[in-house]
Amino acid sequence: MIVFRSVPAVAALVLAGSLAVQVRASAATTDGAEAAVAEDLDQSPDEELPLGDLSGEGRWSVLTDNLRWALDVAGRIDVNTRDGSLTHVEFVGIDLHKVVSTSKRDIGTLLVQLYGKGVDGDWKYTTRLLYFNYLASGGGGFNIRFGHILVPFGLNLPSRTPGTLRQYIAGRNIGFKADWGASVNGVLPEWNYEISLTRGSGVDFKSHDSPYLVSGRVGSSMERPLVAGLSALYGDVLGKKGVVRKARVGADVRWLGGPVDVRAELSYGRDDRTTDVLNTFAEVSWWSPEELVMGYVQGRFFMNKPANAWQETSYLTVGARIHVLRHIWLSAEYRHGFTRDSRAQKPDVFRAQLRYRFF
Amino acid sequence: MLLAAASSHGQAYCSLRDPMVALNKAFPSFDHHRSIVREVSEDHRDEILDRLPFTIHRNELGSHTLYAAFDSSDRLLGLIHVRTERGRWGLTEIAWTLGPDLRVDGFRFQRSRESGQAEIESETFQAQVRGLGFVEIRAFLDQDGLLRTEGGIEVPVNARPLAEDTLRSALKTIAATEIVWGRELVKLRGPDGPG
Repeated sequence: MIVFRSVPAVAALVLAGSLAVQVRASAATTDGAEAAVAEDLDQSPDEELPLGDLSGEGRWSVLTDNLRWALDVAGRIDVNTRDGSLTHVEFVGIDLHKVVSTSKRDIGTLLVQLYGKGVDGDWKYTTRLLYFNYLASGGGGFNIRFGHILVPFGLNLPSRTPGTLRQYIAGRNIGFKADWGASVNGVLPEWNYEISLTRGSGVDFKSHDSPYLVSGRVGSSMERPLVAGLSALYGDVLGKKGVVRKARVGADVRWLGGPVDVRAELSYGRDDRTTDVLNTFAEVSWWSPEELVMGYVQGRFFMNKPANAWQETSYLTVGARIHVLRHIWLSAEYRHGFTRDSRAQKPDVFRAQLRYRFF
Repeated sequence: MLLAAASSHGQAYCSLRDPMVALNKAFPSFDHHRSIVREVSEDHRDEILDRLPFTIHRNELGSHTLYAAFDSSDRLLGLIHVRTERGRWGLTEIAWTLGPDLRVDGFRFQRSRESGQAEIESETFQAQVRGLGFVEIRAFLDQDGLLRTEGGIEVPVNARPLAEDTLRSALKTIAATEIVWGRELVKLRGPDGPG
């Protein structure tokens, strides 16, 4: 798999590129202000600060300054309640977050989430997210993100679900949550936006059948208890059965009130210009005061109209997550499917996950 | 603080966000900003506790970020420090704006499930804390860290619990900024800044 082998190289390039930007910017800064900084340090020799300083003990600050990392390990079981079959999935990965800066300015944010994923003992590499978000304007109103990025559509933004059992309906609408490409994005006092052009192939970068995906979301400020957004996407998305032409418009809303969150998403569109699609999602979640315990109920209602008649499928999911110890989270959920056609009835699924994050 | 919130949720770092709205609201003329991530250690926690009339949770240890805002001449305009506090209905994120002298310029709720948010964010309340430092804000609380019933800050009855949490958050923010980021502050302020 050429694709798999090339992904670490891309990761290394992004990392090296971002660090090179920092080195150059820091060098430029220290060139101009070297004398002043040296004088300052002479006056207070114990005040050496790794603010992009490349000299002396600050040399490693290029790598370690504003860096967070976590080792992320999770074990998951999926139980098919009809036949009792069990699938176990393990994740082992690194979650790295670095703000790349000069001495006085943030340049952007590098995010690296590289994982090994084992399904019933069969392991493979997967890139969950890998991007650099360049702060093109100082105020945050215009940024450029590139790499393996979240597709800006509906509740898929902001990121809340990587590595968790609790998911929304990005898979149903798009086929994946993250894709290779670039976006422009910004956070304004009352609004935020992100518009992306991506490969359309999801986790792995694949170019056969020339897939592509254009997507975007505009929403009200994430800082308010009530947030609403409008989304749209269009493109040829590469799936297991080849390319599917997807077109969607959608609306999402989230509301925080007391111990309860409410989230909902509605999207409408067409697959391959022939099948009308209507997807709806609603979730009510309850949070304990320190948010160590969280329970949720999700409803999914999907309608497809490949010919003259609508076909309906719906699911009810009940789940919970408990912060057991400082680094350990235990999650479980149960999903029941509803359909009018008993032959198409899918089995109920119980899933549980134990997750350890060392940071 | 922001990372503490992400950590306690078990969320990945992609859920972290920069307080761009807080920066834009607090410093309309700011040109750029600089993040400074530092580790809040057990020793830092002990130092902070020495100054406070109440305790702080061990979950508040770990990596946290201070944001410094500059104008186009690289002059420090002020600081943004986002803290996550335990509320009655969940975690509350407060983005504090501090001047270079660590006096309060204002604050915004980045995330809150509490009642009384509008009253506490109002100009009436903010005007009572603006320009105040640690000692003056400490005076709004009694020896147990509770809101004084007389001679303290003026706030509607329904918003008193959130007011108490907010003032406690202010004290923690100022103390933590001074103790954990003290060395960086000296450099950020420059030779002509407040001592």
